[in-house]
Amino acid sequence: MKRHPEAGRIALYAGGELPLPERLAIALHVRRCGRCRKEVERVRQLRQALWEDKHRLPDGLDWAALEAEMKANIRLGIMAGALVRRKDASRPESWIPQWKPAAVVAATLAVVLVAGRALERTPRPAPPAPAGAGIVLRSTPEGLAVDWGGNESVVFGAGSAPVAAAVSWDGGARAPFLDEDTGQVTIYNVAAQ
Amino acid sequence: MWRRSNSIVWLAWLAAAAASGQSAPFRVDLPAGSPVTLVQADWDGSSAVPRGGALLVELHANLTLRNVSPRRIRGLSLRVVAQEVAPGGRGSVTRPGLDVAPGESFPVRVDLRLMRPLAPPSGALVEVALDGVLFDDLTFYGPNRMNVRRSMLAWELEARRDRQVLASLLDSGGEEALRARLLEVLARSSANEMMPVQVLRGALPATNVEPGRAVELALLRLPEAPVELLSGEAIVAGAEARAPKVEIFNRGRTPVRFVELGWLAPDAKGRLQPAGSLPAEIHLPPGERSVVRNEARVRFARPVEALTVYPALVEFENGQVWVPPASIWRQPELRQALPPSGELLRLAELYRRKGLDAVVQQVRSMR
Repeated sequence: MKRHPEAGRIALYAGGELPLPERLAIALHVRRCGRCRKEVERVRQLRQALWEDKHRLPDGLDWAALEAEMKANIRLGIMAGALVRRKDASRPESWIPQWKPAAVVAATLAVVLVAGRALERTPRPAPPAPAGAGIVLRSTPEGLAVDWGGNESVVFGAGSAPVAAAVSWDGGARAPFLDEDTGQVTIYNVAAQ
Repeated sequence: MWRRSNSIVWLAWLAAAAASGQSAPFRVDLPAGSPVTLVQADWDGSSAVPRGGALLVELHANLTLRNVSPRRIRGLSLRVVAQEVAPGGRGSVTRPGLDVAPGESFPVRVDLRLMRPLAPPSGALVEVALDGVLFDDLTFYGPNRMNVRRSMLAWELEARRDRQVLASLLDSGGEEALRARLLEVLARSSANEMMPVQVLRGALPATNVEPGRAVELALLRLPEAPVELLSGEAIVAGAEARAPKVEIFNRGRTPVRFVELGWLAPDAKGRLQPAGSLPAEIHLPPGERSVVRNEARVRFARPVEALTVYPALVEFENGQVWVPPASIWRQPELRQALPPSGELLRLAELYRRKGLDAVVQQVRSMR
């Protein structure tokens, strides 16, 4: 690929949302082109920032107004549903086979299945830990286990216990280990996100 | 043209995948111009096994690196990435206390077990990349993506401080005094006392939250510290502490950009134990004061009545780092509470394995 990919393609590539052949073609280009590499890195940073902001609520959120709006939407949905049922009930029942709607539904299902398979192939990062998830350090015979939100995520130092460990109020953890073979100290550090 | 180009790429990818057969799920990435080169990478015992909707990755790497720079290396940090944005998806492995001459090789071992999504990766399952190298003149090389520079600098300063303390002990009290200190460190590390601590982040739940009470923090004022802790409080409810607030004052002549406050809490026997750290990026000009706050909650194994805070690390705007001086070990309660530095652990282990002469030789040669 000699020409630079379009900005939209770069954004899709950065999110891993392109079909494989096109993704590889752009990957080859990005490897050689510093300008596009920078653009990919910029988009990825932006995506990460959006992930981090996803669970934050805006300041001054009016819960009462939000609740009223949600209730109004639910009532609207119920009323619309009731109107549609009344309209259907007023129609005479037809015995003619309605193949056109069935075909549309089948085609839609096929599209959804194909799209689902395609999306399944795209590697997606796991969502960040939910707000309020706990970070727990446990010293085990296998090493130092760090749990996020009840799931054991990382075990440092295979087969030996840490000589000390520290959690940070920002969610990270740090632990020094002594290597039984060499006598050297190795410090493991893990970031919360 | 585009279709032809795509077909070529597709065929190339198929050939590469067939050739590799997913046999290289782990990768070492050293940038061009790196002061170290990879001599050997042994991944024996490493594996990736599906578990539920995720992949359980066992990483056991024995890497041999060579110092190709003209300076001695005192520390090295590798960044280990399985997944950029997930909790536990990235970390670092640091080897402090090195003394590697130009041209010499040295081993680095990485042992980790982590989970990552099952989805087939576009690259390696786990990537090990160079994050930083610290030289004997305290200059640093590397991308520093995990902010290891300040930690590596602090560990090197602590190592120099502790070797100096041991050398003074040797001069003043002889080999027996040195032996007693090393035995004390070995006893501490074998006791493996670690206070279980849980950090909770995010907003408080709307219900079932004990209101708690504001507790004034005990402040350890170190006369030599560039910052002074003026006041501090946290909300304490049973075994949980939250919303710490510590007012600090820059009494030095250099602006401060980062402060790490160490926390101590009493254990069941009333002895102070390390209870985490509170890092804070700040901008604190000389002669000014600022308040360090955090909204996280920390849950201890038992109810706490009192908490103690002290300045554990200060980084200045010019990149220099301050760590508590040797005098901190003269305070009996701190000597019991603070964990020994990595260098003290290394020298105590050297004593256990090779005897006192080996320690004496290192303390004198690295003075």
